[in-house]
This record gives sequence, C-alpha cells and structure tokens, in this order.
Amino acid sequence: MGIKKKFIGVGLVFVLLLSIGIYVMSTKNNKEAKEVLESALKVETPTIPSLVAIDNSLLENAINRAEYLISQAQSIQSNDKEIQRFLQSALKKLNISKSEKDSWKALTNAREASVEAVTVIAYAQAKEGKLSEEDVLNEAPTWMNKLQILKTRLRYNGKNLEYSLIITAEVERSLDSAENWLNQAQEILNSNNRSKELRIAYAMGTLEAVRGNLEDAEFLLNSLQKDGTDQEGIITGIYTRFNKEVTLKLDNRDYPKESFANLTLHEAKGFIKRAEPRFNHGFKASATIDVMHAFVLAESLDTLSKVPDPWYTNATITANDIYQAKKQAVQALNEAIKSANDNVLSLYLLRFVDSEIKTADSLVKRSIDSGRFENTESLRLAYALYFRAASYAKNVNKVIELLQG
Amino acid sequence: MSISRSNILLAMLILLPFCSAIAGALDALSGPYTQSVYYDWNGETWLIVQAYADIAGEPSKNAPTPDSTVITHQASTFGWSYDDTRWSRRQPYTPNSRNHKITVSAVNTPSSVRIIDPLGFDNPQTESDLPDDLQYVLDVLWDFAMFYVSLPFPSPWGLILDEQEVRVQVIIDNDLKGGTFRYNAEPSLQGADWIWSIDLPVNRGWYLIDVHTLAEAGFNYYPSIHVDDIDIWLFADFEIYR
Repeated sequence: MGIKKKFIGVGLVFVLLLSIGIYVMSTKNNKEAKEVLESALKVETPTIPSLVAIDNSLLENAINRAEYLISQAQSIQSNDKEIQRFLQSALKKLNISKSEKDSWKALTNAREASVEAVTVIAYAQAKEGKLSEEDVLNEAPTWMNKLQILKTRLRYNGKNLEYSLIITAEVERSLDSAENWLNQAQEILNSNNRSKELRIAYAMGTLEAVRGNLEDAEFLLNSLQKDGTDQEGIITGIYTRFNKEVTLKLDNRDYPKESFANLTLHEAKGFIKRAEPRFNHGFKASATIDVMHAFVLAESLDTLSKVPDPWYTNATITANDIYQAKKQAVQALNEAIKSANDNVLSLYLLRFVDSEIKTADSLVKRSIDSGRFENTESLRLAYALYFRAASYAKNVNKVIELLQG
Repeated sequence: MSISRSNILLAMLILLPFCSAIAGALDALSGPYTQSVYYDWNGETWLIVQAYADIAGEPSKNAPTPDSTVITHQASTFGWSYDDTRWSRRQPYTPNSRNHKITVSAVNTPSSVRIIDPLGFDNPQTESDLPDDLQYVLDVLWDFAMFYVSLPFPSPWGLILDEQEVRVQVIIDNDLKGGTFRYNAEPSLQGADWIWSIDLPVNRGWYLIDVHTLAEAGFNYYPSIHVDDIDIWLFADFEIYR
C-alpha cells in the first residue's frame, strides 16, 4: 500500500513537472500571437446607432408580456429538464431586455424571451394532450388576417427619400419576418424527427414570434409620416435601376471556390433572389435595401478575389494578418462615416459593416479562447469578413452616386 | 450495481474549481438524454453500460444588424459509465463500447448554413485547458451526472483539445452542412464543439440542427463481443427572431 502511494506521488510530481515544461514551451511561442490577437480586438469599432427609434411604451409592453408568459411558464409543475432549460434562457433574456441600453436589442431580447416562454407552456400543454396540431393550425389564419390588414397601411411618405426608404424598410422587415414565421409554423409541424410535443411547442413559439413582429410593425407604422411626399414611385424606380445594374454586374461572373469572392458572389445573388419576392409582395423598400446590399457586395468582388476562402483553402492567416485586416476595416468604416455626412441611407447601409466587424471579432475571440492563435478556420473567416467589411465601407458611396446620378 | 462512491467524491473535489467558471454565452439546448444497455444475466437484468449526452449553444441568436453575417457556437458532450466486470465460469465479462461518434447536421434552415472550426475533445487523463464555453457544457453534464448519482462519474479530468488528430477525427460533409467526430480512443467522456456560419442574406425562423451520438456498447467475452447500438438524438435548434 505504501509503495503504491509513493508511486502515485512520484507520478503526480512527474505529470506536474511535465505540464509546467509544456506550458513554458508553448507560452513562449504563443504569447506573442495571443497578444497580437488581443490587441486586434482592442481596436475600437465605431457603433452606428439604430436610425429608427422605438418608443418606451413598445418596449415596456414587450417586457410585460415576456414577464407574464414567464410567470405562466414557471407555474407549470414539471420536472422535465428540457422545459426548465428553455425557461432559464427566457429568464436570462428578460433580464437583458431590462438592462440593455440599446432599445432595439432590449426589444428583441424581450420578444425572444416570450417565444421561449410560449414554447415551454405549449410543450407542457402538448404533453398533457391539451394542445394539438389542429389548435396551432386554427390559430394561424387570425394572424394572417392581421398581417394583411397591416400590409394595407404601408406608406412610403417621408420628409425625404432616404428617410422614407429606411423607415419603411424597417416596417416591411417586421411584416416580412411575420410572414416568414407564419409560413414556418406548418413546416415545423411536418418535420419528422422531432417529437410531436416539441413540434407543437416550436409551432406555438413561431406564432408568438409572428405576434411580436406584427406588434413591432404596427408601432413602426404609426410612426410613419402620413403627410409628406409619397415616395413610392421613386422607390420603385430605384429598385428597378439597382436591380438591373447589379444583375448586369453579376452576370457571367465566376470565381474559383478557393477565393472568398465566390461566396460573396453567391451571397450577393442571394440578396437579389430575396428581393424579388419581397418586391412582388409589396415590400418595396426592404427589397430596395436588399438590391443595394447586393450592389455594394458586387462592387467588392474583385478585391475579394485575392482573399482566401476559409473552407476551401488552407491559407495561413497569422495573428498579424488579423490585426492589419481589423485595423483597415475600422479605418475604412471611420472614413465612410465621415464622408456619409449624416446621409441616413449611407449610415443605414454602414451598419452592415459595423456588424460584420463585430462578428469577425467574436471569431477571433474563439481562437483566443480555445488556445489556438494562428491559422484556425475561425481566423480565416474573421480575416475574410474584416476584408469584406473594409471593401463594403469603401463602396457604399457608389450607392449614393447611382441614386443621385 | 457495484459502484465506488469514493470515486464520485474525488471527482467532485477535483472538478469543483472548473464548475465555478460557468460561461454565460451558452445555454443548454436539448437533453440531457441517457440510453442504457441491459443484459439478461442469470435471471437478473444487468445494466452493463449507460451513455448520456448533452448539448449547449444559443437557443436564439440576433444579428446585431439584420442582413449581416451571423455565427452561432454550439457544443456537445457524450459520456459513458460502465459497470464492473463480472465473472461466469472463469470467463470475464467486461463492459465496453466502441465506435464512438458524434454527428452534426443542419436538417432544415431558413438560410444556408456552413459548419466551421470543428473541435474534438476527449479525456486522456491529463490536466485540461478548456475554452469557457466547453466547460459550461461539461458543467451541464456534471449536473446531470450528479442527478444520476448512482453512476460513477466518467472522468474527473475533463476534456482536452486534441492536437494529434489521431484520437479524434473530424470529417466535414461535402456541402458543409454538418460533420462527424470520430473518437478513436473510445474515451468515457468526449466532446465536440463547432460554429455555424449563416450565409447572407440571413432569414428568420427556427434553424433545426440534429446532433446524433452513436456507438456500439455491451461487454467483451471471449471470443466475441456482445453489442447493442447506442443512438442518442439531440436537437441543437435555435431561432432568429428578426
């Protein structure tokens, strides 16, 4: 017994020394790369605030509803772990929505908390046999009606074209979102490898998302100007012009899949593909924003043809490459904000850049967290996103040029 | 079942410092789930092995700005407990398992998704340096193991990142909509960790993601192996509101 203990003791000391040795060796190599990545994250990105304000009353109502639904969900006597976990997430989001300063973020968190709470309640009810697929399907037409009524209230009035375009785009985005969710309710019920209870729960959650989106849309609709010039005809013209322009630009373009331009080309086409049904459904402003995104991405393609694709290459991306790319992206964004000269449409489009940089940041953070400081897939994607963000920022002014030209 | 309770206590003591570091980024998505392999042993039902699996990620994800690239991080753990060897006519029956796998696939998504930066982990009995998010999944698994305290905790040492690519093989599907993590060392605790990158333009709705933990389990007995399938489905679904 004594020998065994001694053996274990020696073993432990050996393991300890070995780990210290490995630690010292690896930190020497990695420390520098890690520091470079960390300093890349410290390069501060300007945040462009949301240009469409929301009211405290809308946020308050959303928080109250989430609170009410969560208390309902909490009263369910169930030791089903799955349910408890959804509930915890809803509680967390409710707290975020109460403390978050960005009112859009707060609103989205409250809405998501409601969706999750409804999912919990519906799951329990479905399990007890109190809620069926038919119940979900019976509820859907009510929401479809409400959606149609709100759609007829869409207006394209505004004090100027840019402002009218972005605020109407936001209303349409909410309505389009509601329509997407509504169509998904049926699809979710048909998906075959989720349990019936889960399918019903998700579908009910889907309807709650529809409700939230419609409430948001209704609020935004009320804030639309009723007077002012009707910009609808002009917006239709802009959509047609950009659509034609960008389709021409993308036609016959082809890049090898080893280049990030290939994915960007595919994504630009995705925006056009989404814009068409949006436009035909009467969502003209959001369709116009979509073709504008496609236009700016198309302008960036040649620059991006030199950037390696994160999935189809093994290109070496070092910590220093990341630092440089981040710096350039932030610099390009700063310059673009300056030259936007308070043009709301430019700023609205530039929020895309701000957001892409932040997504890339979280990929860099992952590489730091997992202790790999060079040449990870995360770093390759982060590099590509920084690069594209910079290029997007540099090309935004071309939208304004085309608009005025 | 004959189980050493002191192992659990030891495991608890060693793991406590890890457990305190709960990452806020991830929530449990689905599970935990267990599956057991029984055998009819001289008129008694013998629970040979038990597998449990859990998954974490963000149940919903909002893009800072609609239309921009969205990424979401997910992780899964897959743990085992084995009963002690039994003897019959000088023949040992040792609980065992083989072909451990975790497969991930996007089954239905409103926008196209791609898997990126998959990491495989297992527990080769050494000190570990875990990313916070993965530690969280371990915590979830730990809670779960404590819930089923009648089973021995699989490993007090946690998971470490595999660097040799021999213990864990990651095979990504050609369309990038999923992949398979193969654990060649057949460890009693293993993990998988990956990111979804959602292509532009990002559409709203439920993103349905299947995670499937698979293995063959049973006991060795000369000259063959009795096996059953372990086959646990987990759902790493998430939603994008707007």
